[in-house]
Amino acid sequence: MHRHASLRPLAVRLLAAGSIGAAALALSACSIDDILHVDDPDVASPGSLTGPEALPVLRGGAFSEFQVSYGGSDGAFQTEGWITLSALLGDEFENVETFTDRLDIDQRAMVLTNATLTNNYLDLHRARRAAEVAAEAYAEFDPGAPEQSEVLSLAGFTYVMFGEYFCPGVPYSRQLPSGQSEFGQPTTTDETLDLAIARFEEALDIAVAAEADDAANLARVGLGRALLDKGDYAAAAAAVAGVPTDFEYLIEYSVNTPRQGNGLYDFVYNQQRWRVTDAESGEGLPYRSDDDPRVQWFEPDEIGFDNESEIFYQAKYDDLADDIVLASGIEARLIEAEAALAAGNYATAGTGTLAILNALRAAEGIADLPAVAGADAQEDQLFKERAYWLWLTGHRLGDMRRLVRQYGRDAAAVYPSGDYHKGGEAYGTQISFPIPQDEQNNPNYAGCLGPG
Amino acid sequence: MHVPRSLAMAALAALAWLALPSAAHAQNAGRISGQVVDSVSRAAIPNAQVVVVGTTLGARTGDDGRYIIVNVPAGTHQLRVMRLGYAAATGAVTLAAGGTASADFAMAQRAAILEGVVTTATGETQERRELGNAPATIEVPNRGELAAVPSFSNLVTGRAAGVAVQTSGGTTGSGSRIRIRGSNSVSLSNDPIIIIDGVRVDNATDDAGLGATSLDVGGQVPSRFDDLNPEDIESIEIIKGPAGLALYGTGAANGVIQVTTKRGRAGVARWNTFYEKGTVREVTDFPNNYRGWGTSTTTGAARACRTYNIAAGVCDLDSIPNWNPLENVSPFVNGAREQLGANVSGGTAGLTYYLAADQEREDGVYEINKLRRTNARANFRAQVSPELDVSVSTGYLTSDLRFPQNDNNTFGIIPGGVLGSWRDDPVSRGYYLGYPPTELFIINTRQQVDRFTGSATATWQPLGWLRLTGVTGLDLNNRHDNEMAPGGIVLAEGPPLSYGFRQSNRFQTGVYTANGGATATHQLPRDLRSTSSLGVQFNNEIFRGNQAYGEDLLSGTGSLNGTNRNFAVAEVNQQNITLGGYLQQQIAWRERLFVTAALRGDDNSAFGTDFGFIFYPSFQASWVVAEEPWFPQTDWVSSLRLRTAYGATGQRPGFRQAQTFYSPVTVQIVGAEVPAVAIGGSGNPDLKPERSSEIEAGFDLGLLNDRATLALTYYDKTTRDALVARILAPGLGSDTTQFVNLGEVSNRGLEAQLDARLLQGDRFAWDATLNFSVSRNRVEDLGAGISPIVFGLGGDSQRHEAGYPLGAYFGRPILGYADTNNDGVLADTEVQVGDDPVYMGTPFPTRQLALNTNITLFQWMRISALAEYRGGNRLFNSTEEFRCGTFVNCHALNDPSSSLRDQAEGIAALFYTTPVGYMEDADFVKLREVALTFTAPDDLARRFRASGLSLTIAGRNLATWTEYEGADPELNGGAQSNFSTFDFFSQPLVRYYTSRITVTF
Repeated sequence: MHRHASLRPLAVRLLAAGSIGAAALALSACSIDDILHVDDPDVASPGSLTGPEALPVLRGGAFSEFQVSYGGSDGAFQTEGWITLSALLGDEFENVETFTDRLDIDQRAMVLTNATLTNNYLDLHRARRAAEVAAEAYAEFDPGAPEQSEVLSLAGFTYVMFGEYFCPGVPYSRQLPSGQSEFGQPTTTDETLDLAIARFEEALDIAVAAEADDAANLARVGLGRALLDKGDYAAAAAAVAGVPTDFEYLIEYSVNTPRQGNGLYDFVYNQQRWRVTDAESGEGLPYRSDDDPRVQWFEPDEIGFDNESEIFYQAKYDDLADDIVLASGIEARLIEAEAALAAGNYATAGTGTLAILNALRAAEGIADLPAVAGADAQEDQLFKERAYWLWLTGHRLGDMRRLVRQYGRDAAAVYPSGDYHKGGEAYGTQISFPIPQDEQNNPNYAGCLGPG
Repeated sequence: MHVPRSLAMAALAALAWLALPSAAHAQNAGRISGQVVDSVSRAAIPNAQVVVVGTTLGARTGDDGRYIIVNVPAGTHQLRVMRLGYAAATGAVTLAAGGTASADFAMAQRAAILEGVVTTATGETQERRELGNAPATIEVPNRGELAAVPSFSNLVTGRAAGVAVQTSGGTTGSGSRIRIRGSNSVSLSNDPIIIIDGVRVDNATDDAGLGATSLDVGGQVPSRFDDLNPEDIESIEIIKGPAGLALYGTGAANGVIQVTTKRGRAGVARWNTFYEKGTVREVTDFPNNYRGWGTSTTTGAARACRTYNIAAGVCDLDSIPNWNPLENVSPFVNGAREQLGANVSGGTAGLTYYLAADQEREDGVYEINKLRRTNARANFRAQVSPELDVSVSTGYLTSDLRFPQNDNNTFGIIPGGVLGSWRDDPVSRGYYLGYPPTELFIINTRQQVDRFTGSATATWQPLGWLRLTGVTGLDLNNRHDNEMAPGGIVLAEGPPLSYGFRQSNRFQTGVYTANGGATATHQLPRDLRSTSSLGVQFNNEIFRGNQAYGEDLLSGTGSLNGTNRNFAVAEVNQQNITLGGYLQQQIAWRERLFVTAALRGDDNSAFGTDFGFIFYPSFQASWVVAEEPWFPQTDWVSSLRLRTAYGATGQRPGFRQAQTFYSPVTVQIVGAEVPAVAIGGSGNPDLKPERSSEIEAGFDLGLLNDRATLALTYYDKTTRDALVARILAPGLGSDTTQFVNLGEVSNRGLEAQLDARLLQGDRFAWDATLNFSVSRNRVEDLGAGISPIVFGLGGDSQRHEAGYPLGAYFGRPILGYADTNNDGVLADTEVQVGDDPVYMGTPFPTRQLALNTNITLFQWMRISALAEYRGGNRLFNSTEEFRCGTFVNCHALNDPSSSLRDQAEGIAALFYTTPVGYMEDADFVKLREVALTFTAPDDLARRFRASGLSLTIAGRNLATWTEYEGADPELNGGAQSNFSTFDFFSQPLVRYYTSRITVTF
């Protein structure tokens, strides 16, 4: 007889059903969540970044995002950074590669779907938000710390770059801790610069109270730059008056990880993507032929990535770990020189524009500039000095825009124009970066409010 | 539909069990045995399935055609014997209590796609006639003909309707992209699940999150399914759509490929050995690099003089020098292929075994492109008791692959040639950026794999009506992706090549499976039979790895120990767990009408925290209408089955897609490296799986006494809640995208398979199988407020946009061109380009037709061939677009004799940056395989003390007919990317000539 033959089938079924159901119920009630739980040790959750102990990490995040957005990165990240992109749209770099996105920037003919533009635009916003999140955390857990001043200034510089590089209309949004989005409204260039000024003023107050000189000078130069961009020359000069000429605030790069590498070095030395220009299309400044010690370049006898164009390396950043000056006492003096010019004080000994410029040159062993006559010539002299002193630090594009906006110059006479140096269609007419198409996911998006 | 997970599992299990039919009393068990032979040749038929109709009892025949079914209740039973390629045979047998009975069968060869069995998600085998859906069964070529099939992807190519295998290139070790009934998901993987002997295995591609490689050689990546050894495969079943996949649960939306490896057969040890030797040939004609030279019409100076320059009147053409580095200074060699293997199978009725090992060596058409692979397999099956059957399947692979640099890669060999100079140069030999291949070959990019796949299946039949099945197993993969370039040797201007570097990434992938199920069968009144199943399935996928990188490599070293700067380290830990349960009820009426309903419920670790359990229902009906008494019995229509199925299944979100997180980074502040965080992902706590539902209907028709059969299937599949990577406004300063369940994607199509035994005789036999499919893929909706998702080579050559296929090509159109002054050349102003991008076609084939035929002559010679047509798609020939639009070294823009159309396309690319002229029709016909096998007479084999001896001469990729103007209409520099598809300096497919000797002892 089969061993189960004596059992009644229904009883077997009921017993089995009960057992399995009970076992499954026990399993499901107590441990399904446990079974499905997975660890994720590779990242940090937002909840782990609260409290005073998180402040150094958040501060580091602000610096890291700013570093990538400002000078780019190396390796797999391959971020160009805004110094490079503004140099391409301006007259500091020419493109000698093959990527359409970046050729379009060099050619002043970007479309709104330009991926390079979109990525770097996002990076700048990430730098802005990282700095603001850090500043908010300091305000909550360690108000008045010098570090709070620094991250506020970093936030201020991101607004300065939005104001200098982009057409008016950039909205500033944020994601709330709940994950919801708080969309900003389009802002004019002046409104953007006002946001920067507010950050710098708050940063300056905190730094002065904390007797943190470097943080204070960083805020002063940022404030002066923003005010200059607004055309408020006297206020700009007043803001930077206390900054010593030898002051420098560095954004640091490193060979520690690829993300920390200096993109201005990587894209030129490792990738041969762009070259130092020389009077690009006739309108640009003669960076190479002037042979000025402030514009360091060399001719490696190589061709660019496009396998055709001769390349000239920038030599200002000839190492992957070279730091980049964000703000300096030299810039402070240049602001004062421009304020003097605006006040009609070009030639006054000691405090006039020419005197300030020549004092800076003398300190570097560069021969004095001659006095020139006429507003245009004096402006040209001043802006060329700014271009050379501040070469490849992300200032030139803003200056070119100011020449158009504040000094009434014709854009076609300031920006590279006419036949493009690589052939094909001629240079376009853009003088600033447009707001990328992806920003249309902000319901308040209105595009560029003007040409810039 | 979702409910709290706390009760779902319990409810599923208990309800299913209570749904089981009343059990029949257990009977005194007996056994039935017999032999199955070919009705004409009387040769034993191995691997035929013999089932006791109306029960869960059955067995497979051994190599001698014999079978034994144990634990059979007393009484009169119907037996049914099924084997692919034969008409089913049936017979009655009466068994006394505790006794034995014998039943022999003679099966007639038929093109009978109606018959056979398939393995279902429950782990049980099921007669094909019971299914409402139409899984494809791929018959693995015999061992000799595998000489024409060097990889698993080659084995699947062209052998199943609706299954598209897109090979990405001809590099040894390159993988393929498999799509079954089209792409379902906008953002998640569209790759099928692969199951080997009951357990899921790693089939990750780049877009799936886990990846098949971490090293970038420009484009090509291996496919993990190509780790499978075709030599060890007995059968492949492809379940194509949700209508047949509901019980496979979350993750199965893209289809399931079930692989069954070879099993031992009871009998004396039988040895099979083979040795294969062959050559791998590069057969592409690569284009010349041109440069029109002339004199300036204004200055008289020498200058480049392109067609558009001539049209603009700025130069007079003098000459068009050209150079072809790839042809004149060829980097190619004749590759070689060698494989040696042996297996032995045998055993007793209680224990059978299959042991196999083989070694494979393939050298590609570059001297550095090498694959070394060793496989071993040991499969056992034990009849532990009359009620308990245990099978153990184990497979081990060790491989070493070295890839060349190619595709979208400055250091690539093909780009180095076709983007190179129009003239020779003693150093660079005309290669781009001055890198001749001998310099580039020094970059050593390798992947070493050690992989073990094992499973154990236990089937316990405590009662005649009840069978319990448990399957557990794992797929473990230790992978070492590594790359090295010695410092100071390569002609690179800058680091990392000038310094040398080392990348060493070690990964461990583990896929763990544990399934348990029960099936109960009961004969009901009124000729009804009930089959009830329930079960639980658990799947755990783990991916862990460390990545390390350093530069400035000390001369003479090749490991990270020798690096000195720019270090990078990373660690990855990913895991995904699925827990599911199912129940299924089938009612059969007179074994010719089958109705099945099923429900599967799942929870998954990647679902959002606010989402619980999800259920997938299915319904199937199959009616063997030709067996109805009223159906007219004619030779013309010898069998007919109607079938329909509906089902739903899903695709889980990717790891971490539901989470908001920050990524750790390092930053230097005042000279000190300090920890920091960068903004990571923007999660979505409401994230849930994509849900694909499908209805399919069709028929299987036997004609001319089943000498020809036709299976026709229509399917209509819709994926809802499709995960869309919604682009976040950059002004938020957060992540680029956030995954949300918004989209809807549809796939419709028609599949047909025609099998015919055209001639059947002792001296001459000819059979053919024709697969045909047409399909239509479309994005129905991307979600409110979601703008088209633009991507692809160049940044915007492809997009997901409602109303068009997924990944469709888009570009600003060429509106027209005219040589207004009739000078034979076009100026840029003579070409008109539209302002807005328009649809240019899909990169995925919409029509497939494959002919697989076998001819046997005099029983000693067999010819097999596979030819395939694909069409309806386009391929972005970015190789030529880049040559014209960026490097301007193409023929079209340098030689005034080129056609106006070619000039217009080049001008559109160069002046208007629109590549549409190079989004070309990619229809093709290819002669994929030809194999010629000679079987030695028995007396000749005996001279070598063998029982069988054969020689096969085979070729692969023998001919291509296409209008596509690039190197090959199958290339994809995007490799296994979800959608990115482009021909961009990939190595074209290569040609194989191989010969193989097979000896059986």
